Amino acid sequence: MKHLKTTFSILLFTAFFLTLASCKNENKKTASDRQIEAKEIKTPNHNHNMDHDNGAGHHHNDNSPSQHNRKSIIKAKNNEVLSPIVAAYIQIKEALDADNQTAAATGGKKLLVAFSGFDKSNLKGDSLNEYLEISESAIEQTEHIIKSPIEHQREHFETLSEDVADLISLLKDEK
Amino acid sequence: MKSKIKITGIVLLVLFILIQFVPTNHNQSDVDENSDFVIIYDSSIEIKQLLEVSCYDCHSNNTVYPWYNKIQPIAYLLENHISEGKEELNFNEFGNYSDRRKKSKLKSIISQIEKDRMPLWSYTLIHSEAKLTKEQKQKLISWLNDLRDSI
Repeated sequence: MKHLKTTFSILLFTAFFLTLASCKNENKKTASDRQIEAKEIKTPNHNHNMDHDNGAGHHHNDNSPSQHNRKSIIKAKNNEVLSPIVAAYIQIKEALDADNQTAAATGGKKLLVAFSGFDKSNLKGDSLNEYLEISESAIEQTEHIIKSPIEHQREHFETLSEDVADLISLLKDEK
Repeated sequence: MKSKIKITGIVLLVLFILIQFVPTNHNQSDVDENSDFVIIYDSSIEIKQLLEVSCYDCHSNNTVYPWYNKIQPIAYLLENHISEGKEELNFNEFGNYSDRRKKSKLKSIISQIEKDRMPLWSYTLIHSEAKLTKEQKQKLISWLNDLRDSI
């Protein structure tokens, strides 16, 4: 009988600590993944022209928006409505170029502030709907950029870049 | 010495029984046929099963609860995973997302599966059936890629 109880209590202990440990390992795993994947990501950056050999991905961990987007981003910088959003976006981009996870997260926080301060009172009908769709997605990407390790930041930055580019083309005529 | 072990055992046993009374919300509700991922995209039975077995427990409004998932503290940990998982992605409500969001979600789903981040290893540890084989992964990813291009 005593034996049974001891065995049972040992079992309980083990079960409990296993569940705890499994949670902790989750974090550890991402931490070590970070280093490995950071290395993996750096490699494709160097061969922009060899686009095909990236397996299933049609997308790359390349932080630079297309040439066309780059021009409109520079223009948008001077657009009053957009400038806080664009400034924060560029801050994230530069942080990622410099492999700086923390700075990218800080840029993300600024971007959230910029979106919440955005004055959409001039937008109506379709433009308003489109703005809402774009900002919903952009905010979601940004939230991930704020809380994620760098390789995951890069993934969400890709989508964010598309959102910001669409936002610029939507709003370029707005004053 | 022996009495100490006995006391510890009894205390643990009492604790274990007590935490069984901590309430958890069971993640179970009706599936909306107009917004559920596998229904609106008319996936094959194979794809449907893969998604339901490997993803739906945490990424939908309906979790399948085997007996061990009802025991504390497992139920509590699971509840946290589910609420986080649903916030990120809810297959039952996929149809309500905007097209932009659908695309970005699909992109993230594909990337998570490709990089073996999903399904979570702690989940497949208990649910070995949720583990995706290489072949299953390929099938699922190519189907998801096609879907993404069609939106």
